[in-house]
Amino acid sequence: MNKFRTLWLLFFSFAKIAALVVGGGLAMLPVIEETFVRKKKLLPQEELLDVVALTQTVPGIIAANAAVAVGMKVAGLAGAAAALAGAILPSFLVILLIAWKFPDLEPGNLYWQGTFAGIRAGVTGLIAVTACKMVKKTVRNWPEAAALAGFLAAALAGVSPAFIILAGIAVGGGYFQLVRRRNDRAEEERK
Amino acid sequence: MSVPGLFFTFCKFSLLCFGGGYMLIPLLTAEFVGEGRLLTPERFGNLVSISQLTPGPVGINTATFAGFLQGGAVGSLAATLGLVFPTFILAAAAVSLIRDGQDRPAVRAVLYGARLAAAALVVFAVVIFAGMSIFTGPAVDFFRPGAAAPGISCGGVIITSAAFVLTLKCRCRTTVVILLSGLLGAILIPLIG
Repeated sequence: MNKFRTLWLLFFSFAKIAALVVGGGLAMLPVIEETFVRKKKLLPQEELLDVVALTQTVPGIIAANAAVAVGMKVAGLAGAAAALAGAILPSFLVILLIAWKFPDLEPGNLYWQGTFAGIRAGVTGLIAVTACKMVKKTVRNWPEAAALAGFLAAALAGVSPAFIILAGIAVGGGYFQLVRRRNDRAEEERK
Repeated sequence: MSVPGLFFTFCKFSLLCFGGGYMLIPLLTAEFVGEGRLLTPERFGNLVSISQLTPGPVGINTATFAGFLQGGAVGSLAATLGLVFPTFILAAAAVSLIRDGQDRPAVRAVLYGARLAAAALVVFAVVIFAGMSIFTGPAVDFFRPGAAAPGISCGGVIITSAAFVLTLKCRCRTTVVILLSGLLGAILIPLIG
């Protein structure tokens, strides 16, 4: 396959995935596997594992991370750019159209207002499910529970979320290194 | 906010986003939402709702919309590109330079701390959204001395609980849950508030 066709394939596949997979993020990964590993055979199975690990390591939108990682592995920097452009274009165009036609997003009709209020309530439930899963995954002991409670209290008190993430990296990262060193030392003493 | 301002603001969001799209909700709220600012809480809530119904990542959708409100089509392009630019650099570098990046102690330490804070911010996103659905005003007011406590929306409580149970226990698809919520809302909210 020549270079141009590979780039087009990356762009088109990611545009298709972005246009069809509602929910984005991790919902995309099975479709990426289907397209690039099984059908087109552009990506070996074990490289896909790298992609999954990477999307969860690098900060940013998960879908964009995945597109850049797959594109980079298949066709270098140009591939990454093509895949990323494909991944953002459908959402960009759809939302641009909505923003242009309905910039207010505040319907006057009572039943439409009800519909939106209902959807907001549904989204609250969805976010709550994600929140539960994230807390379950990150909190395994008392210091972690205390740290999470502290960060939440800070957010409720009006501390900027950006500052909370940076504080998390500093405090959590420092604690992680501390525990790691202590474990290393304990291991050495046992020897 | 100017066009370069939009670009850099969304660059910042991208670099701080360690836990998927919902984590952007507190960041966006702090920057754009409130009385007399770019978006009222209801409008912001409706925007995130539309993002759940249209394909594509929530983050990209909100960036495009907020960018459009600030600076038209150019603004929405600047915001969207801002949100993916750091990703492009970092993910591309990670693929080609640091193959075993996620195994390094320093990287693991950063992720460990960032994920704890990200989990707290997603819980905070639930509080923000509760103020636009379960309660009739900002739910953070419960935690602020002197502020009047907001009222409760009965329909909101029912729909939120239903969506929670359907997603967690019955593993219903997001789109189905959202459409059902909208339908229930059209019936319940005008009736019981």
